[in-house]
Amino acid sequence: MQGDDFEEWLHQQPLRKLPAEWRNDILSAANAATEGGYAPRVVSARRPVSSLKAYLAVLLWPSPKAWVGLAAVWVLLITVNHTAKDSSESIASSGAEATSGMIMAWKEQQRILTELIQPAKTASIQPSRQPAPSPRSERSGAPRVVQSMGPSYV
Amino acid sequence: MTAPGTLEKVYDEHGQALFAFLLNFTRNEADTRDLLQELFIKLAKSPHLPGEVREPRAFLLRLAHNLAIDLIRRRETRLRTHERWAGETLPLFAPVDEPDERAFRESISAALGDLAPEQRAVVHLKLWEGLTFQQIAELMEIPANTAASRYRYGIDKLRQRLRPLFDEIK
Repeated sequence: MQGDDFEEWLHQQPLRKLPAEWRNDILSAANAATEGGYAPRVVSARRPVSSLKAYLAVLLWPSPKAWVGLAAVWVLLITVNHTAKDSSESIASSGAEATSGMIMAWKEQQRILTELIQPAKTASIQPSRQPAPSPRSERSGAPRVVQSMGPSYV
Repeated sequence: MTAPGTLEKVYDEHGQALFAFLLNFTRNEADTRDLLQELFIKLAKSPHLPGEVREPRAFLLRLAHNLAIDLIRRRETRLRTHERWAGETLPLFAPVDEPDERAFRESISAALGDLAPEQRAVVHLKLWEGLTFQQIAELMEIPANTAASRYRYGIDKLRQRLRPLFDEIK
């Protein structure tokens, strides 16, 4: 088989014609894009599911794994937030019931503590046996000499 | 923005070639239509018209090729577009009533579908657009030697696959 003949044979096969009905749709979409900056999509032969898949593929194209990871983190955060909210609410409700009892107990403790401290305070108020220091001018005896610590370090 | 009537002129002059190239490359009619529309929207928004370039057909084919590659990349990870496109069988050639001739054309279409998209693109541009390897290389942004070897490998594969059919006709 001659290569040229084969290629010539392929070349002679007539290619399928461009569907005539596409012309208006494509050109009007292109013109609309320039007028309003918005291009209505030509209704294609795709089913809605495949169109949705294609749209999602385009949307998530740059790094689909990163998007999935981000979605997982969001789900985790929402779950944790929801759980924490439940537990804080239960603590708050149980706390409200116990508040009055706790205040009573605290007041009782304060009262007992005050009674225990009271005698100690009165004892500490008793006057000291040491006389109050007299003014410097009235003090007797030789003035104290401050010893120098110099020589011992030489 | 393009002048009134320019897009229509470009469509009438080059639409058929762009359609055939995109259809052979994508092997999917809906994708071909979407890409063709995307291309004309791009042209409509672009201040540079194909008429201003030296080889408008090559310029448009290059644009079409880039858009198709972008589409492949967008879908690569999830949809395996290469495999999906290659696996689809659709009529690439003009319909014909004669059963044998129809079977021949379907066989050629199927054989082209077995080639890698880039190989198929080179074969298409060489066989049906008559571009030189240098032009194909510039269009596809590959070295000319790579374009030539892709064409040679592609033609060899087609020849092996279609040998019985070709011998029968001859």
